[in-house]
Amino acid sequence: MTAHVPIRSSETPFGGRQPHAVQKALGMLEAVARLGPGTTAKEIAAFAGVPPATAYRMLNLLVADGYLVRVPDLSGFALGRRTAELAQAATESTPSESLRDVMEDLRGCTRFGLHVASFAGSRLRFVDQDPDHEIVAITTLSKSLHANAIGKLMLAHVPGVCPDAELRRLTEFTMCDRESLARELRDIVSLGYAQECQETRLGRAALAVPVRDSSSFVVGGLYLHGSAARVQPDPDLVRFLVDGSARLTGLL
Amino acid sequence: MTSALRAAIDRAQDAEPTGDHVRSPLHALGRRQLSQLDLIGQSLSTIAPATGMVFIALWMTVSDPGVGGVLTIAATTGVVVLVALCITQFTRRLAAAGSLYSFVFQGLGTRAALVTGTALIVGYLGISISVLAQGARTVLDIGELAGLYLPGTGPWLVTATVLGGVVALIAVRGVRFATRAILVVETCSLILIVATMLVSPAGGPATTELPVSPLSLLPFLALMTVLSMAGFESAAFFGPEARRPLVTVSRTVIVTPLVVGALFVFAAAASLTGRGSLIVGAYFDGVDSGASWAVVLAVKTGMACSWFASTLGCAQAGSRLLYSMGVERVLPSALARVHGTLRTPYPAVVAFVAVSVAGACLYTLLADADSSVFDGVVEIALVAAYTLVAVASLRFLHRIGEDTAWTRSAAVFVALLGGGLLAATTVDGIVHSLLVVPAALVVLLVSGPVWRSVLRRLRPQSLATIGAFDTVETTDLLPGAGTLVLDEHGRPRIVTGGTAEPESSGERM
Repeated sequence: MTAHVPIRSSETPFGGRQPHAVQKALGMLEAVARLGPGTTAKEIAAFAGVPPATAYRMLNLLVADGYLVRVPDLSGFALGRRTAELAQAATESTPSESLRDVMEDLRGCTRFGLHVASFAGSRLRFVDQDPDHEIVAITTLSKSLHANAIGKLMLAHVPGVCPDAELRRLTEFTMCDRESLARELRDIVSLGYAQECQETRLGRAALAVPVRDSSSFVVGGLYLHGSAARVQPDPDLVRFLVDGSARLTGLL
Repeated sequence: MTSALRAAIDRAQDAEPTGDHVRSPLHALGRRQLSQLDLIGQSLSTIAPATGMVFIALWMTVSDPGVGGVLTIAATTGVVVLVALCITQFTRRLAAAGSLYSFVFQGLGTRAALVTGTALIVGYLGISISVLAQGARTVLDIGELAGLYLPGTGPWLVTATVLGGVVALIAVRGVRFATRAILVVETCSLILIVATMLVSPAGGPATTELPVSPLSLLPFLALMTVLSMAGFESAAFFGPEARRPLVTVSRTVIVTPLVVGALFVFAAAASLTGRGSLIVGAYFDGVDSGASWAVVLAVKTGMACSWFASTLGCAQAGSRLLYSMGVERVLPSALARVHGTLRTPYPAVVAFVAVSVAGACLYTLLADADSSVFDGVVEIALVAAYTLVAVASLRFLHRIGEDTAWTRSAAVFVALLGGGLLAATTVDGIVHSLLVVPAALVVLLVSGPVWRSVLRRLRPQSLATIGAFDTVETTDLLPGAGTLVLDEHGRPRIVTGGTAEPESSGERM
């Protein structure tokens, strides 16, 4: 559906009388929150005190922008993910609109999967996932940091995070030797990116670069994955990621 | 902020992801790729307005219906815009790769949806076949102008096959690439045609011979305008692949007939003042018409590009329809395969183009002498699909309780007009002993029930999945505001708090 599509700031979905229209839109969201998923357009219009024809038009816009979703039989509405953006309490699990904007833009420039992870609290957590390129077995990434690009990036940059005592072997390519891993982590810091080649999953390769906050501390990573034959640390791809992560500075 | 909304947002921040990730049945297609401009390119190219303008100029110049002709074309445009309004009642609410076929299911159920599906396949294949045939002919004409004279059907068949191959390659290469390629091609040919009409001196009546029409002139012009606008709704096939589809697709569906109608009215008006005769003569009679070699080459190249763009537009749209039916298993599920990196439904593209090429070859070998019957069948199919979608919009909006006096009037008007047109064409066909057209209508109407009973026997599970569209996914919902679960038939529905109290579900068959 459309929940990940941001409103462009230049667009004016509700026409001229903005404050009034926003008030009506909020009234409609309140109706859905109060009446629960499956609330029909008629019920929403009555609850919000908006003429039906106006209500139908505004509901369609709220759905188009992801503030509401239509239930699968299309007869009613439920609150959409973007409603959370109305509250300015952007937490890790609800990334800001601008992070979404940048990621949407970056995803349009690559055919590989592109995700953002946060390292807050010394935990690896994906906060913006590519809806079109699922990471198969995503939980393995945070459990076996030594075997994937984003995990190694976190090990290299976040003080106090150490690899597991036992470096579990996931595939024949997994690096299980502590010496080699330590050397690779140093390289990650000096090169500016981390890579993974079939170490977690056969056939999958990935690259990761750090995302920093406004004080230049590494607070997360930008993770790109694809087939092992195609994803390699060639200069163009690394530059794309480095430029992309620069745009994400301060957004995590 | 209001209390219940604030509470829901607070809940969302603490909510842990629960249950399985429910995805849209169409998630395999490349998502959120197409911009507004891409969608307009897709629609415009399917219509091939440049070729429509030349044919309108031909009839306006040779038959000389006067101002009445221009008014007829303008009025027909108005009706097509009303059809577009009925279609946008769906495109504002759902994104579906099956376009009208999926929309009609939402209003009228399985049988009517399958009738619409048949009508769309016949309509789009028909347009694809005739534009491919004409495109190959025009390419050979250009070759002849350049001194490469290749008579006979052999070179023609080879040209049509090569054109089909290029179309398939571009359509598989990627939807965004294809729509941009066809927008550039179509814009160039439009500029060429419009410029030629503007700068050419007012001439006398053309000497081109017209094919015989069974109808009187003005109704014929109206039908020809409808046929020339066929495919104006083809952007609706790309909802799942568009950015902000509910807004951009709807806008495209409305804007396209307005733009094309304006171009047609311009072509008709230009022809009234005699400015169409140069282009008509150059295209139909070549250098024999007295036009210079360069003008003939330019016009033919513009037309060839337009035919080509139209073939590509049809292949793109038709393949999405076949893909949608493959996902539902209404057609073999092999059609639902999507290329791993390009995210295009390549078996559906290849199937559609292969049938188009074969059809174009047969068309030239057998039916070229009487293309009015062929056009008649395509027209019937498209008018039937547009009529059904108007009726479906009436029922659909009533079912979800979002109908207004305005939507009801538009739908009833289009349904009555479409029904009347179908009845009149049938009667006309019987009176003139031209039985192919009424027979086609009967075949269309029984195709739905027959197809359904075949599915019921062979693949009963497909009857539960029919009507696939881009449904809400788990990640679209505000966490904690409801849980998306699959019921025992595999249909998604939203429940509150992961327990019972399902949303109302309308069973339709």
